[in-house]
Amino acid sequence: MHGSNAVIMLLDLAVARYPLYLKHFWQPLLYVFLYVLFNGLYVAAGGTDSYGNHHIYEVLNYKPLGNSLILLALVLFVFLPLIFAGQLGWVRLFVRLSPGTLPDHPARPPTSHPHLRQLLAPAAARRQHAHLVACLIGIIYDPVVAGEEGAELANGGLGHRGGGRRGIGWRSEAVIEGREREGEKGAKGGWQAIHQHNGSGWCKKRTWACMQVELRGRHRKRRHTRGDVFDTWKERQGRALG
Amino acid sequence: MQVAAALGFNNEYAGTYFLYVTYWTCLLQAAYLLLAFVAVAKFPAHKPLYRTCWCLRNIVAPASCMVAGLYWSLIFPSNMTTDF
Repeated sequence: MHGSNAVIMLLDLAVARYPLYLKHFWQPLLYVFLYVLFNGLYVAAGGTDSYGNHHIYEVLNYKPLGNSLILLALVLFVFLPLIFAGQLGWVRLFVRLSPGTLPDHPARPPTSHPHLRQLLAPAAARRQHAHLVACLIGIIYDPVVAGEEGAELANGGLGHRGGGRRGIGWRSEAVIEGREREGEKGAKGGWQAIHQHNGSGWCKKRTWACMQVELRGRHRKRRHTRGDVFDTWKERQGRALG
Repeated sequence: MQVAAALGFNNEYAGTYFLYVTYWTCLLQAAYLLLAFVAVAKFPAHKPLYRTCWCLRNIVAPASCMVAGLYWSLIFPSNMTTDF
């Protein structure tokens, strides 16, 4: 009885998902305080234990009143809070081991920082790393490949907002070269491909890799328009002609 | 067994069952386990029952550990000293 009940309750704390809060410490404190009050009143009224002694517990016989009060204070304000805090830690341990099983204790991300969180989340990190590799491929191959295929690769690699290292609002060298080669027909690449895909210059998804590219200055944080592309192409054509 | 002892069928603690915090805690624990079983088996969405179980659990869990700790640290050594 003096131990097995505690073990049962520790097992119950481990498996049951009742929330346990520090603010509920008043409940066991009130329970123990009520028992102490009962004990004191019973002894003061001349009650005896099962052996005829004028106390219930020998260590709490109130003969030296000071010692009994010190013992009660230690139990109420030191021993009991320590037990409660230990049980809080015990519950938190098992909640951590089985996250998401309690609405008040949802599965906590490993960090609150969005970039680190995505890096640490395995599936998300795999996706983002694959996307980053695609970005790098697009950046590397953008000035090399020409025409629609090159622009698609570059735009696909970056996911949105124009192609490759030229970034938003700029036609890549490859696309410009392709348009120049094809003359009036034009080549669908870079901005045009994105525009046809999304209906605007903005991408509808903001992924980690794209934001990283943006932070490194590869992208401009403004909406690119058809005018930007045309002007750039015209400027380049004008420089070539002039 | 707890009920039988409380009613005085146990000669050793007849009439003095409710004096000890151990048995207070035992009774509360029995009530908690019974109510928790009923709540899970019969009334899984019964809010007052759930709150009662929650409150009882908050009391019984630290109290049972406190009883065990105090018994083995204070009561049991003093009993051993008396016996010998």
